[in-house]
Amino acid sequence: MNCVLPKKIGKFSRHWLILSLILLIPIGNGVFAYLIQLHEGLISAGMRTIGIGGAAWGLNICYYIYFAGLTFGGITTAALARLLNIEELKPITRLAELLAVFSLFMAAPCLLSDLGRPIDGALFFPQYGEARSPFFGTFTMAAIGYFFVSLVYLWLAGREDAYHCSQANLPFKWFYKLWAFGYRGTQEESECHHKVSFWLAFIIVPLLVTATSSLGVVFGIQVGRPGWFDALQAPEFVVLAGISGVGALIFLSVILRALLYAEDDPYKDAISQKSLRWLSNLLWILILIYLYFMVVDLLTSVYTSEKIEKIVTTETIFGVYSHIFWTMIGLFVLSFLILFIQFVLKHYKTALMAAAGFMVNIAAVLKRFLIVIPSQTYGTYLPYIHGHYSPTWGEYSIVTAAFAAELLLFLIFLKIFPIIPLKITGTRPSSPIKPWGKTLRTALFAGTLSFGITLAVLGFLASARIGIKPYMDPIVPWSPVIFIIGVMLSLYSPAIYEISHFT
Amino acid sequence: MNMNKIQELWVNVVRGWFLKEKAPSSKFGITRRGAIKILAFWSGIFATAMAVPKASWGFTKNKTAASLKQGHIPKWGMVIDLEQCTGCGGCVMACAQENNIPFARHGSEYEGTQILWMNLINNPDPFPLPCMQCEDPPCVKVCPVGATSINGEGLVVQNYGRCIGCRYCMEACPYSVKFFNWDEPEWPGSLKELLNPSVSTRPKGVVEKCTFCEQRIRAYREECEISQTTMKDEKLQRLTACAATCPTRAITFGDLNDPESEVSKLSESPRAMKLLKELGTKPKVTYLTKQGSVKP
Ligand code: SF4
Ligand code: SF4
Repeated sequence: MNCVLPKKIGKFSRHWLILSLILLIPIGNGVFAYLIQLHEGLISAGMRTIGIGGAAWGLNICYYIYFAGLTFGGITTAALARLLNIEELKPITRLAELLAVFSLFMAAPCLLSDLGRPIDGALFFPQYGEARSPFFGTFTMAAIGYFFVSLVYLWLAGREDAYHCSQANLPFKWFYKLWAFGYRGTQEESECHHKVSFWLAFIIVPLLVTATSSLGVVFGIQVGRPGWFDALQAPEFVVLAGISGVGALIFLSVILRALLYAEDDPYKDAISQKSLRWLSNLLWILILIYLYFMVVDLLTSVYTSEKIEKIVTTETIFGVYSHIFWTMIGLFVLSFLILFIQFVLKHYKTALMAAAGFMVNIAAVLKRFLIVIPSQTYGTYLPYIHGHYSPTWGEYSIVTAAFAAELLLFLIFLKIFPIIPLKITGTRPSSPIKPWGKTLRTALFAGTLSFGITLAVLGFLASARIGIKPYMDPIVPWSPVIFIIGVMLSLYSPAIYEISHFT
Repeated sequence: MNMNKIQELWVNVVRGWFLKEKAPSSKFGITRRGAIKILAFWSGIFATAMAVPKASWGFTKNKTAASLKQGHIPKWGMVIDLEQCTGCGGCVMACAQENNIPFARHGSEYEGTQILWMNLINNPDPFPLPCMQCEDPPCVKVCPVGATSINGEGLVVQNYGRCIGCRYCMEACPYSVKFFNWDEPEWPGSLKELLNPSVSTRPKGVVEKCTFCEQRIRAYREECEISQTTMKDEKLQRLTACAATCPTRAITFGDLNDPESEVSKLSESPRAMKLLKELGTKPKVTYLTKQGSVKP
């Protein structure tokens, strides 16, 4: 069994160092802005009270949804590649998993920096979280659940490469050994991994859709906020998350191909035109579905007799937000046309695909702004003055820092681990598992899974205050933590199965 | 012992024990040692009192039992007569004074940060707007930590210590009557001394709103329990700070579960109207529209 490592692994060049140092500047600026916000309160942000001229949620929430969307797009692509055995997508699965993990790293500060009392948030939600609140799904499934599942996927899928790195002459051997966690690249281990990946994908795709829908529900069930109260919010969130995730993947893949591998690198063409084509075709289909949703939504609100709903829509399309709206539409349509025409002509240009991937991400951010803001500034049923929201330096700084931190994480990862799964040649050694080992690992898997599910159900029921009077604290303290531990254990059970290779 | 003394005692004990500092302006000259002695004395009285059979107190542990009829649970409501309202803003001022609402500050950065538990919007006539104290409140349903909840008497109350400042309840309230402390509230100079000791001040980063002067309801109930009388509708009608101050008596407060109360009778008026009732929030504030005007 042989494999070649990418040339730049473990080699920290001067360019790399300079770029990393440059990225530290916006990160430092963001941390500084956040410290000011902590000290002064959210007055340093551009948000204000609804009804007396402001919007209570702003840029941070828009970007939280955006980053969570990237996570969804990333991990779903990786899962689908395994579930449907899409060969073209396999070279970018690690990139997709990394996009998921790093984006969620960045979603968390966006969410925390939006809280008036972040420390209390981190302390009280785990203790008293209310399952009735749509934020429950956001804080548990769409934050911790997403993160954990992406991490499990990344870990399991990377064990083989970690093993090969640990055998090579590289620094941080302990890191690779820890990651490989006993993996030796045998035939049986490899088969087991494929089986586990398939089943994990099978389970998590519906879970991920549910978690992303819970983000849409945060807005969709608000009966008192015209523009938000909409049954289509949840599916729209899922599709938009898919668009931004796939778009980001195309863009990152092209960058990776162009910049990060040397001409003579064996992995230079690992992300083939075929992979990009596959993604770009998926992207135009998703854009088309999203445009359809948008048209249906807009038609309903234009034709409604509900006055305030109409005001929100009119302000969005023709009023103060029209420049954002038409830019967003323009970017979506342009990206769609670029990708669709390439598909029809069967002639693909990498640069154009990357441009489309980038543009849909800008459009997705703008769309999130249009989802979050106009309903607060114009969507009040009572005759209040209309609100206004423009983000401040502090808010921009925090968001920019999140982007810079994500890029830095990518840069660091690139140097310590193969971002494209390694090509293994030759025959694998065999390490048949002992008969008792099989039974034991099945028992361990089943035990972890059933224990996890039990904890999740109990934690959820306690968080939902089932069996007690409403408005009381849960009878089981820290029930949201029990719920999330249950979810994590359930998602971890396939990993238990895979690592329990008793020979 | 009056309220100020109790408050000072409390401040002394808490600060002394936990913060290792003494309360400022010790007007009554209570030291930490003195405070502990007084506390020990009252603890003794309290413990003895608890040992005496409940029946001999003349009222049971169910606090509403003595102050209201046996087993009766009140449903606090309010009626605002728009015909009577002149838009003088007295209710807004009284509410701010009663509930320690910080003063609005000048400067563009403070625009939109004002806190108005009782708001007065003009549309084009004046329209006082407190929290509707919904029976099915959207703000409660969305709170991720149970910081906004419904108490035993149906009041939608806010637990400031629990609030994490996510502002989801502000988004969910269709009436936009929840307010966020965008920065640390300030009471310049001697204005601090005018703070109402029965209402806590709120730190930056939490949401607050009208509570139907919960502290006044509590105080009146305790008064009735001590004098072993029932809560009188005449007094309840003007119990909240806004109702007490309104010069034209446009605001009436009371128990909607008491069919004889003024507030119940007014709620049945042909002019009665609930704000945004189509949303299903079941507001407990009723408006009486102007004579001859069409109900929205
Ligand atoms: S009026 Fe708003 S704040 Fe008051 S109870 Fe109803 S939803 Fe909650
Ligand atoms: S701002 Fe406070 S009261 Fe409102 S929903 Fe968030 S935690 Fe609950």
